[in-house]
Amino acid sequence: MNREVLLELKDLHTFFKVKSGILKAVNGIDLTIYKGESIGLVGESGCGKSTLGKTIMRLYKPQKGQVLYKGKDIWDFNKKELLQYRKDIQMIFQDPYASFDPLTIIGDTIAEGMDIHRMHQGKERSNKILELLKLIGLGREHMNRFPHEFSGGQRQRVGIARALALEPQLIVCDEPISALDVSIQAQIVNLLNKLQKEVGVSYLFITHDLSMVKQISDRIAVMYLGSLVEISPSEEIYEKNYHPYTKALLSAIPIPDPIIEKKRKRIILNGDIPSPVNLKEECAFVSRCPYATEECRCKRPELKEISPDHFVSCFNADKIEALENQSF
Amino acid sequence: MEEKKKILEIKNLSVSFDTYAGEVQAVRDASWDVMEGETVAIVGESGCGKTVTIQTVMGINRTDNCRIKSGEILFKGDDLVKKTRKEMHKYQGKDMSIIFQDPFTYLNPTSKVRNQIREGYLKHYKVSKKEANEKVIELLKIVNIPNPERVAKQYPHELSGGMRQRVMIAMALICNPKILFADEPTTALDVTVQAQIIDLMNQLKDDFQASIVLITHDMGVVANMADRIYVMYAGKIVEHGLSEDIFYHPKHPYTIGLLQAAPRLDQKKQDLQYSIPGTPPDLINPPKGCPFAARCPHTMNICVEEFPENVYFGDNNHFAACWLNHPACLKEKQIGGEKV
Amino acid sequence: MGIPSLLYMILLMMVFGSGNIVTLVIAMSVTSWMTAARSTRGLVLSLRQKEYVIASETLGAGAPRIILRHLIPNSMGILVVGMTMSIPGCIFAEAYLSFIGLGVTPPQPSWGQLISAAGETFRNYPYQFVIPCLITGITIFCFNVIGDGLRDAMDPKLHV
Repeated sequence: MNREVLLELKDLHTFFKVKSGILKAVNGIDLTIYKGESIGLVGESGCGKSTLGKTIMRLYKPQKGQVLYKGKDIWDFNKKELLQYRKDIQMIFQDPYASFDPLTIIGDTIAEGMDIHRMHQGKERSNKILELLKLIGLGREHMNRFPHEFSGGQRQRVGIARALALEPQLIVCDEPISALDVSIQAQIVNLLNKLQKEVGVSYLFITHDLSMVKQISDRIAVMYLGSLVEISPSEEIYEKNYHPYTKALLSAIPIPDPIIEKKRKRIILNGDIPSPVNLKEECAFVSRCPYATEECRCKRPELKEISPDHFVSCFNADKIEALENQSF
Repeated sequence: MEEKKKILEIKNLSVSFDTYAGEVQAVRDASWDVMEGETVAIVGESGCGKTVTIQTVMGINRTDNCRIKSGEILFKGDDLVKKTRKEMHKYQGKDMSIIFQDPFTYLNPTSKVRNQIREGYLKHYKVSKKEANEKVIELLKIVNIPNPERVAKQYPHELSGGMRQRVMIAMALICNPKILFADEPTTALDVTVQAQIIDLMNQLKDDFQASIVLITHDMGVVANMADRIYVMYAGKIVEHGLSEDIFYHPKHPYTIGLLQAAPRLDQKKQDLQYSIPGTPPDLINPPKGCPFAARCPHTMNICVEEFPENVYFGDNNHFAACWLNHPACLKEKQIGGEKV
Repeated sequence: MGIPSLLYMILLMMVFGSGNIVTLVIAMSVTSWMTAARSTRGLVLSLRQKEYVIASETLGAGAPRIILRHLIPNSMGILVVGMTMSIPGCIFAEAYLSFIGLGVTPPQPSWGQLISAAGETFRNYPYQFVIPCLITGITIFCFNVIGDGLRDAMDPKLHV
């Protein structure tokens, strides 16, 4: 399939210095985002997914590796190219309460990007704001109101409008629905899907909610302790999964169905998620993996294609697959 | 099978808050009960009154602006509504205890784990600190905390989210309560940790022969833990039944909506994720009829006028407060166990 | 910054020589600008971390825009309030300095001076002491209330 590459992450490492050592939030990530697609980036807290999103947004500088946009590393941009990048790649934030200036009316908040890039002036600007408001299900009467007059779900929609105002190529959604009530979450996901169909924008959807992310992604990338352990088409991942962490993660997610739950075999991982400080040269999952071998303790595995468009980073993926097929 | 004893019975409880904007009727005429050794779940969106309900039972919201308007809370025969705040202290932590959603904010950051766990024990039983410390270690082992001696001397910020939740569970269980209230116990936790905590709570319920009252909006957690389910909406109980009845034969449109809206890992990607349109009603001026009428796809004229009576199904006390199930209506519209 | 400001002011007034309102103002400014600067710096540093500032950055805003549109308006409220709250402190400091003779000297009048002078005649004419004290107290109280009101007025969340 001939897909146009939008963004390429190559061997990305983002570290932070903390009191006890070096926190390797992003520890060697390779990922390609194509035009028009939606990637769900899932992982539990502390896996580095938010840091990855912010590194792509040029908010954190990576210690190693590149983020290539149109073939050029975003840290090599000149002023003009950077401004264009800021227009093409947008972000939606997790906290709908903190991500808006409390003193700015939302009409101006939505238009802030347009103003910075001098996109529309005067009457055209107002029209564009109204158009965006309509797109997200709000109206003219909301234009002059302050953020605190809106609910969490409405604010999140305003955040979407703010990002869309710049007609971006990619929107990085950093846990956009975690802070919202369950019933509102579905509304936002539906809106994002609808907008993608109408506008053709790509999404990098960062979340810890594997049940919901399926609804919005074409591909799902599973992240653990700074590394990508599996990348899979989203329809496949529940039935076909190869990495032990993915298996454990999926088996841990409760399904609202008592009879199915009783039949499910749960893989319970021992202990808690280890600290991302001072990581060693070994597979990120080795401390909790029931299949760990010597090789896993000395080297870090790389993503390899195990079935069409399905990648896993595990030395023993084939053997584990064989074991599972045997037990049926 | 022997008859299970009822240990907690709530009868027609109404709780309101007095605010500047008016009287917020948080809980309206709610009746539910808990038997020995079972897990009862109360589900509903935020603002439906489930948290206020259990806080009222525990007696921890007896402030100036919170009024129990009417009703009874019968615990082992005693009416807790009539108890003063001081009298409720005797029950709190001993006969009934509670674990909260966010273990970080509900643990004292300046107090060692051991001191916090033993606090209730020292209060309710006349024991020495040494005996209490030993009991703490025992509890930490029961909740599967590794290195209990070391963890006991640590502070909450030194522990992970899962460990803190286990500490809260240990705190709640140390006096062998008959009822454990769990208010969204796993919402703030990572998925793999959530699975551990769910299993732990199920196992401890049997070991301690306690009952659990689970408050949550996560139907997946409910499927894993609950024996019986009450569905609450806008302060009222709209449906009740055994877990299988609610999941497979829901009779109230709100319950059906909740189940349809819950994202499922095993479902195929859909064009449109279902969500119940609209928002819950204002509790300062609650509608006089069915509170769900404004959002229900099957609203009839009577729904707006009068709150529906409970209609019963089967033998297991499965009921739903919905006019669609009323015998007079069944001729025209039907809600079956199938999703409408 | 480790020296208590009142002590500092006393020393400065002793150096400048008391009596002149201008030197008094200079002395007060020299001692109090550091507190104001420190709290402003802390405020702006915390505002910079706010998510809406980061959001502006991701939209492509440069530093001038962020400062003018977001940082200054959001800190103005707190700074103005801080300013009105510090006025009572200055009034009190002046009263105190004049009371101990280091503030303005006659013929230039000041409330602190009045209070100081009234100390001697207190037994016979107590009103000379009580009235300036009362007026000073009420004025300080009024500025505090203005500060409170300003803070409420500047917070859009309270405009229901």
